[in-house]
Amino acid sequence: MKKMKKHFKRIALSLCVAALLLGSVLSAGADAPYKTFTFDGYGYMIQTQTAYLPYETITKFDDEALSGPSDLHVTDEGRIYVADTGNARVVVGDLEGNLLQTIGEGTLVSPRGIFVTEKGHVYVADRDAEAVFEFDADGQLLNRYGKPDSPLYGEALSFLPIKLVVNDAGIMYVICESNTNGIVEISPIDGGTFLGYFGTNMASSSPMIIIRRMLATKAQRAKMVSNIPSTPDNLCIDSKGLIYTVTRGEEENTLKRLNIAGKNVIEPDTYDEIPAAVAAGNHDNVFMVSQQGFVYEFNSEGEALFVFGGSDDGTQRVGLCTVVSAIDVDLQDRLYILDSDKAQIQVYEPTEFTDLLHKALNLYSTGRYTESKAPLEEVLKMNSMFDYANMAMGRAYFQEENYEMARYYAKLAKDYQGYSDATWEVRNLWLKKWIVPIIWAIVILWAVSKAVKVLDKKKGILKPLRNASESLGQNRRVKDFKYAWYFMRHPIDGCYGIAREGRASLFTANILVVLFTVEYMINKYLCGFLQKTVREGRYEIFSDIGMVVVVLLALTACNYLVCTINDGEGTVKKIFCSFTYCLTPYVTLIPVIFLLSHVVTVNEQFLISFGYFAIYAWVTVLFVLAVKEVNNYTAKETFKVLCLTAFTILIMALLLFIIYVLWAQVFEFISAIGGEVVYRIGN
Amino acid sequence: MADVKVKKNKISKRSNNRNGYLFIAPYGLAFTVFILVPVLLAVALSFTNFNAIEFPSWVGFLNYITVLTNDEVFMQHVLPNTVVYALIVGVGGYILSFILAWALCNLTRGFRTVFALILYSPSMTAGVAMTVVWKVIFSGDQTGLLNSWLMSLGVLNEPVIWLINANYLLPIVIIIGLWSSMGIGFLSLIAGILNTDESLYEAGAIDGIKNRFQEMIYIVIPSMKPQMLFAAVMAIVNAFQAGTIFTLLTGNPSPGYASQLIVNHIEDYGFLRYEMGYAAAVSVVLLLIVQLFSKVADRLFGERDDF
Repeated sequence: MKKMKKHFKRIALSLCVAALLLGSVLSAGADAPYKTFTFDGYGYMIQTQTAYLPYETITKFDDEALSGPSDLHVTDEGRIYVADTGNARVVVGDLEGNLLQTIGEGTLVSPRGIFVTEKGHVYVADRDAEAVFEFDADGQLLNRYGKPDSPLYGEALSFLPIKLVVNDAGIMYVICESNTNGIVEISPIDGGTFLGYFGTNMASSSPMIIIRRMLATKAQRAKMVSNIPSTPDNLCIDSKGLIYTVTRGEEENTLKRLNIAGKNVIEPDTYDEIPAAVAAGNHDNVFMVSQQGFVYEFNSEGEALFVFGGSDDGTQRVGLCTVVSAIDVDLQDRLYILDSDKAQIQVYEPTEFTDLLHKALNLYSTGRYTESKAPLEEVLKMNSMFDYANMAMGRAYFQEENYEMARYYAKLAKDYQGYSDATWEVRNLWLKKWIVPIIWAIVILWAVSKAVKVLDKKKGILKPLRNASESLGQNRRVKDFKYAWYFMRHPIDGCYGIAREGRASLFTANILVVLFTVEYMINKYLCGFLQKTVREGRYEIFSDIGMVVVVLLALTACNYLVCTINDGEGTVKKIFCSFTYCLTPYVTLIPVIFLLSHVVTVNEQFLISFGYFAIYAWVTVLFVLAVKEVNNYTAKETFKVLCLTAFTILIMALLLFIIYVLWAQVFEFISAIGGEVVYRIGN
Repeated sequence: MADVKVKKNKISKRSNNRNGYLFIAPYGLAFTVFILVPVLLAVALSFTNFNAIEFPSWVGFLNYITVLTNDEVFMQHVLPNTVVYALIVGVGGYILSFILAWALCNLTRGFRTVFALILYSPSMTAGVAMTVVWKVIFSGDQTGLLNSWLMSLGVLNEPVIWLINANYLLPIVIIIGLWSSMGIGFLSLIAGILNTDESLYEAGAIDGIKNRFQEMIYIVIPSMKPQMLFAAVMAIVNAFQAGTIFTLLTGNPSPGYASQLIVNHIEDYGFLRYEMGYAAAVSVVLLLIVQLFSKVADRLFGERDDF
């Protein structure tokens, strides 16, 4: 009861908080033309306060307008380099819209990708010139890297560079159009040495495709759409030299972080089907933008922090884009998004909330857990339902060895692994404290029980107790329950008893159903956090009860109907009783599992899975045997009757559905007539 | 006259007892020297700190407390692994033995003997088989049987290093365990089934038993309960004591402790780290676990009528 009250209190509290938050979100959202979302612990998208606000739109630098730009790069000094594809040049400007420089006029043909090194060297991927150009900071052409002449590159393959990055050693990673082998890795030595392909995507394959290909003949296989890997669409490099790529048509793995061996080491929470560009942030975070203008911010683990933005539906509002082709971040965490359709750069700046979160992330990822707690608390004050912050908080407490708090926050954040780890530690501490008393208690209990047994043998001190339990055992109800226990362990004889000796009673059967329902619900809603299959704070009690009753009645009714026309010997009572008695393993074992679920961690979860497996297997065996024995069937007949019963239930469900739909129509019709009458009379 | 007879009987009973003791004396002696004393010594050692060189020093319950609270490897890997292994291989192997034994008993004598021998041999020759069969199957390069088979099917693109990858180790060990679980218990089950009184079948047929399944439930199983109990206890003991053989395959400790069983843990502490006291404590824990599960088996299969 107390727990329930606490629950209600918590629900009420969270509702208040939600209401308050909604207010603040609405007021903050007034000046952003889009909503910002984050993901809660269950992976559901929820709205949060605005993370980035539109700051400015750059349409031209001085008087130089852009024409179909396709890439941009922002340096630490705040210089903006744009690959101005339509005008065949690179434009350099700043945030205020001043033109600082133009590069490569006359040399470039169709610049598609751009990268600027720390020294200020500008690398341009030019698709139509089929080359990568390197300019120095003043715009002087230094090098031109054409198609690698190494045979490993592939003689027949063309070299159509569209995007590139350069690492600290000067090695270029170039994405080439229609080159499915991967990213082309070129070293600057000897005017461009081909090092190999990097980060190759795999051709996707599903069991369905494999089976189809196995069954098809050679001619049929030749007709199938050839299964080739997709070329990455864009890439970026972070301060540690790790390369991120985005690829369309890679189903869920559109964003990848490639380590030095070209292996993907990130699995993002969410994905976009048509990603356009990617940029590494200053806090181990990474931004991905989709072609329609949705911006995703991930942390270093691939957990989505924010999703915001959206496509412009013709309203021309600041902050919305039409066709995005590039993204970059400056040192102040401002986002620059290049819209190639509108030929403009949209700049966003982070809000205070985002700044705080970044600060906390920074501290957390560098291992300064205690310091990260203060900004995290601020973040949680602004939005207590921001589960990512809750999770970081829990982990910070875990690092501080404050396991109770870690557990509390992990539960809030639905951080199962964190919760499990914290539980393990809490349990271990408890064990350390109590292990010696527990051992002594066991030893003493054992000794006492032995002593009592010896005394009982000699002087019979337990006789009154035995007599009492015997007289209790004579009670009819108790006998019925004992029979359920017997039924569970000796199903064949047990069924014989039900079918021929009238051993079961409806009263006991009903009690068993009630027990089953109650245990089912208690286990569903109040079991340990790690075992919970429903969302915290959700209760669907009536539908659960309805479900149990409907399933049991449908099973009994349909089975009875099928059995009567198949020479079955069972009556409704016998069938119902035997079915309910089949639930005995569930009723007896679920309490054990329920208690266990409160103490186990992920480590010992197999105990619970084994428990469930045992229960379900046992109940199934009992059920089949019950159908067989109560009706006196052979194995073959039993199988037939079971299939027929399943089919009957299906038909019955369909029938009920049709009746429901028809009745709904009738009601609609009547209410329409009523409305018509009222309307006519009113007129 | 009557008195004399009674007296005579008494004397003969006593001398009978003496003869009985004499008869079991050789075995009793061997049992004491080779089993009882070592077990008692192990229990005694488990309360000490003993490094195999210095004289053991008494530490009380410290080893046991350490097992339960401070040995994270034991609690996080070894115990869960062992329980999973024992539940699957113990129960699964037992069911498998029973089904196979029953199937074999439907064959003619010659075939039965040959097949029984074939099924029984893995449990005896596990060490050889491990190197000849399983190492070849689970080899980590493309010449390994499993790898080459999966690659030719197109399921894998590159070979998987089965015996290093922590995700696959326990399942592999369980599969091998099941494969070699047809041991002494299996033979006893065959003996039990074959020993069932033929006349019972006839009586059952007259009483209305219709098929082989009913025959098994109503005649075979009730009449072979002792063999079932023996096989169950053997299955449990074998399942919990498995592990030594797997070190040939995975090494000790296994990568990431992924297939570390209690026996491996005991070996690790006893013969790699020479912490004999601690290893003895772990083996006493193992003994208690086996004892507990044997009790459960006894309750399930022991002779007892309760309704």
